[in-house]
Amino acid sequence: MLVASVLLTGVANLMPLSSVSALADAKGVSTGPFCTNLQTKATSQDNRLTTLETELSAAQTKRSSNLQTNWSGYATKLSGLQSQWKTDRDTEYTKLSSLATTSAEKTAVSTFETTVNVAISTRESANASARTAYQSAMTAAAQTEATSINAAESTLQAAVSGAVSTAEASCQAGTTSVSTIQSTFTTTLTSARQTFQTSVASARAAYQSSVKSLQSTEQSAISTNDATFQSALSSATSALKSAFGQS
Amino acid sequence: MSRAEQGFSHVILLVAVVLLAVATSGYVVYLHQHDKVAPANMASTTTSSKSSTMLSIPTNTSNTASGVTTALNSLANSLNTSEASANVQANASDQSSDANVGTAATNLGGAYDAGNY
Repeated sequence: MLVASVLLTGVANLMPLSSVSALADAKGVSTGPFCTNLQTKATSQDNRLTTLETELSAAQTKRSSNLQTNWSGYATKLSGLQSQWKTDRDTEYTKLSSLATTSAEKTAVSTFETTVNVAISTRESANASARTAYQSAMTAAAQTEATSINAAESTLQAAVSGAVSTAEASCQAGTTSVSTIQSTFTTTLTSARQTFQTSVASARAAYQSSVKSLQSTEQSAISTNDATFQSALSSATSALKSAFGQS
Repeated sequence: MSRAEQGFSHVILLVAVVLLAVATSGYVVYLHQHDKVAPANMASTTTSSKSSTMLSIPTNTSNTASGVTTALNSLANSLNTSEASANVQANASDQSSDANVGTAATNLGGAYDAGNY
C-alpha cells in the first residue's frame, strides 16, 4: 500500500497539474479542488440563490403593491376630477337655465341637462369597466410572469442540484477523471443557466407585451367611450340650439 | 257812441277773444288726442320710445344667442376634459417598478455560475 502510494505520487509528480486532479486516491475517490470543494461551493451557491430568490420575490411583491397604489391613487384623483367636472357642468347648466325665458326653452335646457348627464354617466361607467378589465388583466399578467419565472427557477435549481449530485457521485466513484467530471458539471450548469435565462426573457417579454397590449386596449376603449359621448353631446347641443332659435 | 255803448262793445270783444281762445285750445287738444298733429316734444318722445322698443328685441335676442353659445362652448370644454389623458399618465406609472423584477430575475440566473466551482 505504501509502495503503491509512493509510486502514485511519483507518477503524479511527473504529470501536468491538471492531470493530477484527475487521479483517484487509493480509496478510489477522485481528488482535486473541484471534488473537494464541490459540496461547500454548492452550499454557498444555494445560499446565494436563496438571497436572490428573496430579492426577486420582493421585487414582484413591490411591483404588485405599486400597481395597487397607482390604481388606488388614480381612483382618488379621478374622483376629484369628476367632481370638479360636475361642478363646472352645473355652472354652465345654471347659465343656460338663466337664458331660457320661454317654456319651450326651459324644457329644452332641462332635456339637454338630463341627456348630457346620462351620457356622462354612461361614459364614466364604460371607462370604469375598461379600467377594471385592464387592472384585472395586469394582475393576471404579472402573476403569469411570476409563475413562469418561478417555474424556470425550479427547473434551474433541479438541474443544478442534479449536476452537483452527479458530480459528487462521480467524485466518489473515482472512475472518471476530475476534469471530465468538472467539464460535465460545467456543461450542465451552463445549459441550465441558459435555459433559465431564455425562460426568464420569454416570460418578461410576454409580460411586457401584455402590458403594452392591455394599455392600448384600455386606452382604445376610453377613446371609443369618449367618441360615443361626444356624439350624444353633439345631438343634445343641436337640439338645445334649435330650441333657442339657433342653427 | 256813448260811454255806455263803448263799454258794451269792449265786453263783447273780450268775450269773443276768450271764446276764440277756448275754441283754439280745444281744437289743439282734439288734434293731439287723435294724433293728427304732434307737438315737437311729443314727436321726440314717441320716436325715442319706438326706437327703444325696436332695438330692445334684437339686442335681447342677440344676448341670449351669445349667452347660449358661450355657455355651450364652456360646457363643451369642460366635457372634453375626458379621462384619456389622465389615464395615459396613470398607465405610465404602472411600469415604474417593473424594471426591478427584470433585474432581480436576471440576477437569479447568475446564482449558479459554473465558473465559481
